[in-house]
Amino acid sequence: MTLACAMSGFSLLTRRLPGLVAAAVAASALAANPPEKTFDLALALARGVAPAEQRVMRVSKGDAVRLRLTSDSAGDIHLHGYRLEAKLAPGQPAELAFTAYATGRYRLEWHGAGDDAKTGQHHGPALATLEVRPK
Amino acid sequence: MSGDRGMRARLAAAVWAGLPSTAWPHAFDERYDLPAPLSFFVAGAVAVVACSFVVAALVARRAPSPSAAAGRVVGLGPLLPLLRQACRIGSLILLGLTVAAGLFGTRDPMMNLAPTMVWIIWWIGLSLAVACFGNVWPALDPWRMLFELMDALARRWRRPNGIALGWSYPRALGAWPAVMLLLLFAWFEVVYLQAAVPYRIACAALAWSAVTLLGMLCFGREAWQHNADVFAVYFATLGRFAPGARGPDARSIALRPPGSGLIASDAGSAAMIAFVIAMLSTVLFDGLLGGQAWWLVQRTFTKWVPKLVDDNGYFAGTVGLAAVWLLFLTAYRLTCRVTAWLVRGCPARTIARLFAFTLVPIAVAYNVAHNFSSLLVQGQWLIPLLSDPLGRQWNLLGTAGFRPDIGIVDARTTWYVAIGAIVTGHVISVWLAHRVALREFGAPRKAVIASIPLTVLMVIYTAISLSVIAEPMVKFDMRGENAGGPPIRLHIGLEESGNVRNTAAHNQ
Repeated sequence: MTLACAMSGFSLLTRRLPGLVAAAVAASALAANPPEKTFDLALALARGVAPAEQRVMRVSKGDAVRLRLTSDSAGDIHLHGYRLEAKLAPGQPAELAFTAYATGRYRLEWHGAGDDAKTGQHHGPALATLEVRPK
Repeated sequence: MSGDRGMRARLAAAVWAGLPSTAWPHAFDERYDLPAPLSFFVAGAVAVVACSFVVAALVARRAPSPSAAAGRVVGLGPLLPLLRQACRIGSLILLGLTVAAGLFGTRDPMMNLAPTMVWIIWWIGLSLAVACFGNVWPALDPWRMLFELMDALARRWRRPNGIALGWSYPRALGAWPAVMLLLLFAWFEVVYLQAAVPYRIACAALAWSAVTLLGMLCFGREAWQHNADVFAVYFATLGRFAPGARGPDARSIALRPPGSGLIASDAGSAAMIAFVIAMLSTVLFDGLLGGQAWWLVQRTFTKWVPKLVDDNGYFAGTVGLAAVWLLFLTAYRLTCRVTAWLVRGCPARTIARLFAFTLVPIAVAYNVAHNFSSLLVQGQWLIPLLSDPLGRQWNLLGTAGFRPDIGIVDARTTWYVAIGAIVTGHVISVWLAHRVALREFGAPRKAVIASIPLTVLMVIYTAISLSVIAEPMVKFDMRGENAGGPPIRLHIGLEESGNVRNTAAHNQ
């Protein structure tokens, strides 16, 4: 990053656009074999807690992401933004597989079966965060 | 675009149980932004400091030409009055629809038109549009239209002098009511956790309608909108930054360099200084809140005054909002005092009034940086919501099934836009301050000296803007009582919502 970059962010961007398009085309040509990232999340406890080292999952834009989920209790898991959800039952593994097409930080949320209906619950702290960085 | 705010999802996607299956994992006004990398922050900061010197050097050489700020008049023919009428009717309908959606629609903020309409389209979208193009609020203002309608009716029938009671607005108050209302509104937006609850939005809109109509009735529309109508004052101030302005007649507009409207006419009053600072401080506070630094503040409060701390963060949020405003205001006042000491012969109070509006571009820039991607991503919800404003499975326009494309802006684009906006805004602010100094103090050398303190303050404000959108340089260990998750502000008080209507009844 140089000074000039910051000052003329917009014009730089428009000048780069053909390059970006070319890069996108190249990426789609390679799509047959995109880098795949697999995360195994083993949820323990009734409320669903992810292992500390897996609370931020970092991937790059375009990566094929596979979340393998297991839980010791029943509930729903949602990935915000990407709008993906999976139902989990104790002992039964589930999977969310998708391409990380949009950059950003997305919350992975857990909703245990039963506890929402009673209290009018909202989202608690995120179980984990998916961070998709630009290339 | 503070990344951490995503964790402080304002009102999470409501109640999962009992929601129709079309609801998707998403929380209202949730931000997906990645914080800008350190390199962007450093480049931005370097550019800001360098530009400040360049502007000073340019100003020192060139005397200002008075004609530059006058603007060029562009005639638009009969189109403009027609457009104005269409805008007014459209916005009155939208106000009605928003209130109706809030009162009678679903309680889910995502599936109800009111939150998206008010917070994304109106508050973020219109603010940016006004700053970038011109103050269109007078043409959109539904309350103004309501009042004028009533006034016209009154004139036709009984009262030749109109409906207004003609009380004289207390001069001593000045624009202070608008300042207090802006802080109150910011509190509602930033601190209050139920700001996205449709029913609360409808109530607030109705309450404001009553207050503002009553105000216009008592003091007359112009006096009220000039001093107490926070939205009229807010959009008018942003509009002074914009390149477009009112033309000499109803069929034309004037074009001028961005920012020149801020220094073209009258100096600000003491209240307007406070208002401009509040514009700056509240939008920055929105970014600070939920960031890691804020978490430290919250923890300090918990440690020292545990009795005052509440689960909702209302105490810390309220104190923080007021404190940042007072801090910024004090910093500005002190800076003007230093300037007065440097130039001699001009009291600090006068200097503060002269330069107040030069801070507006920094506020606009931060607004763009903070909200640009939100507007483009969350704003897309308007498309399905217009088809189903009440969340009742309607499909009026055939767009109810539309779902936003979260990949519409790449993080890198957002970073360039954010840093570009912040640096540009800073340059415009510094440039304006120098122009005012030249105009008031004459000699270029004296003008440059007079601008030094304010330029330093502007660099500080801009550095704060940059640091809020950038990746934290120090990673705090946020694991505490509830390891892993963000420890703050996630208790959203639907439990205590006795007068929020029953969800199940509205969602089925």
